[in-house]
This record gives sequence, structure tokens and C-alpha cells, in this order.
Amino acid sequence: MKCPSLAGPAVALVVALLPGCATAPGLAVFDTGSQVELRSYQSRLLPGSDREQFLRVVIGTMQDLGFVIDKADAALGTVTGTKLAGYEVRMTVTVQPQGRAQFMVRANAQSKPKPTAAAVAIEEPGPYQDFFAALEKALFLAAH
Amino acid sequence: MWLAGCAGIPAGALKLPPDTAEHRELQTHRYEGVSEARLLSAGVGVLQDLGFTLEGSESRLGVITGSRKLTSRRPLHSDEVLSRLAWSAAIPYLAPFAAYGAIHGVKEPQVVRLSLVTHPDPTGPTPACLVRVTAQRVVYLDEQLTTAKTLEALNDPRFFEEFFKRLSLSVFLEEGKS
Repeated sequence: MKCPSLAGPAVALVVALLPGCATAPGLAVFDTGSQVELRSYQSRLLPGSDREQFLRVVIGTMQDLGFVIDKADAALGTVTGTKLAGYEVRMTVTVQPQGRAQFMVRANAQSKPKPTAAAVAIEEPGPYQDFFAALEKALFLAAH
Repeated sequence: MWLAGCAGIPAGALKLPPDTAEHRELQTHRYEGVSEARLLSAGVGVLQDLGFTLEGSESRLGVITGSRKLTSRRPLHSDEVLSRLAWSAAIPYLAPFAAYGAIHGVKEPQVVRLSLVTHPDPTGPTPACLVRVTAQRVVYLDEQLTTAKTLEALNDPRFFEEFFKRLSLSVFLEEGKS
């Protein structure tokens, strides 16, 4: 009589014990891909000395781009807004002083291509470059 | 324009649209001789009068945000009218329902969100303050607001006209109190 093969269960056990691509639920938040490269195009050093005025220009730029401002904090230098136009973009902009005459501006955004889709981080440079182009134009107009 | 750019959104989603100046003008109203603090206070009053819940504010930056859940009815689109006529022709039993829909419109359970931003404007002959409002809504398929159907900005000029009319009245009433 032939013995039942143990190969199948053995393979399943080995596969289950192999370290795979899965992340522990509590650690998934740290899985952000190539963070250094991402930060470089999400950030820009821009001239300015009055942080509140600068934040007001950021808010105006976000409104020009069709955002509703969700929240803003003058002390922390943050603005968060949401744009709805068939799709959704949610973006936070932070403004931190760098010396006396510059601010480090950082933007990060998530998008949903349609109402029922899950939100995913925008990791391409294009939208951030467009946002900074609009912000630089608004800063120029505010200063002149 | 609707080429998928990144994460499924259009490529120019964060680019200034060509009609930026028109939208800004539509969304903005100038109040002469009114302080920023008074305008913000009047703005909170208008939002509360309209049934909005205040979600956040930062008076140092002149920002107020609120939202409101409501159900409105919109008229049927032409394709919806045609579709209902076709169904009524095929199944006459449905005709009364089609007629009811045509008369009363379609229910739209929704959440409207609005931000009101003030900005002192020293450029004119008298001190003034600008108020800019941006608004949007999520329309749902169900009254429980579980399945979103439409994500859109509110850009109807009548919305802004009516809002600024109410804000002007609120500013006037605030002045009367002080």
C-alpha cells in the first residue's frame, strides 16, 4: 500500500514560514517607498520673511487651484485642503522658516481618481511641480 | 486633458486653470471699512444660520471651514427622461413612478463643505477686507451617505451671490450690535 504523500503539506508549511512581502499591520505606516527622492520634489525653498503672510498666499493659491481649506494652523505653519472635481485630491502644505529670509515649503498629497476608489499617495513629481509653479507666481504677485 | 496623469487623476489637477481669474472674482467679495475679525464673526453667523457645523477655524489666517448634510432634488437630465419614457413604454406599470420622478426630480443626499477665507486689502482708498469662499459637495447614492457618487466643486454664480448677500446682512447686523 502506498503511503499518502506529505510533500504538499510540507511545501505549504515552508512557504508559510518564509519571510514574504507582507508587513505587520502596525508597521505598514512606515512603508513609504523612496522617501528621500519623494521629499526632494515635495519640497522647495522659497523667499519670504513673514510666515503668516506666506501662509495666506499658500491658502490663496490652494483656492485658485480649486481647494476648499479643511484646516490651517498659523503656529505650526500648516494648511490642509481638499479639491473635488470628479476626482479628489487632499493636500497638506507646511511652511517652516529657514534662516531669516526663506521658508522650506513641503507639500504632500493623496488622490482618489473616482468617488468609490481608495486614496493613494501622489508620488509623481508633476503635480508638485505644478503646485510650486502656481505658488511662486502668487508669491511674486503678492510681493509686487 | 483627461489623460490619466498620476494615481488616476488628470495630469493638470494641480495646474492653474485658464479661468482662474474669473473663478476668483466670482468667489470673492470686498467689504469696505469692515475689520477682518468682524467679517469672520459674521461669516460664522451665516454658516450657522445655514445649518453648517463649524469644522475648523484659524482666525490668525482668516480661515473658517464648515459642512452640512442635506438632501436636495434636481430635475431629471434629458437622458434620464428618455430612459424613464422607454421603461414606461415597456412596462406601463412603471409609468406613475416615472411621472413622479419627472415632476419632483431626483433625490441627492449630499455633504456640502465650504471654506471662507478673509484677507485684509489695504490697496483701496479706504481699508477693506476681501472674503473668498470655495465650496464643494459629495453626492451619495443613499441617505445613509455610505456610497459616494459625485465629487464636485460648487461654481454656480447664484450660490456666491446669495451667500455674499447673506454675509453683507450679517455684517450689517453685527455692526448694529456693537
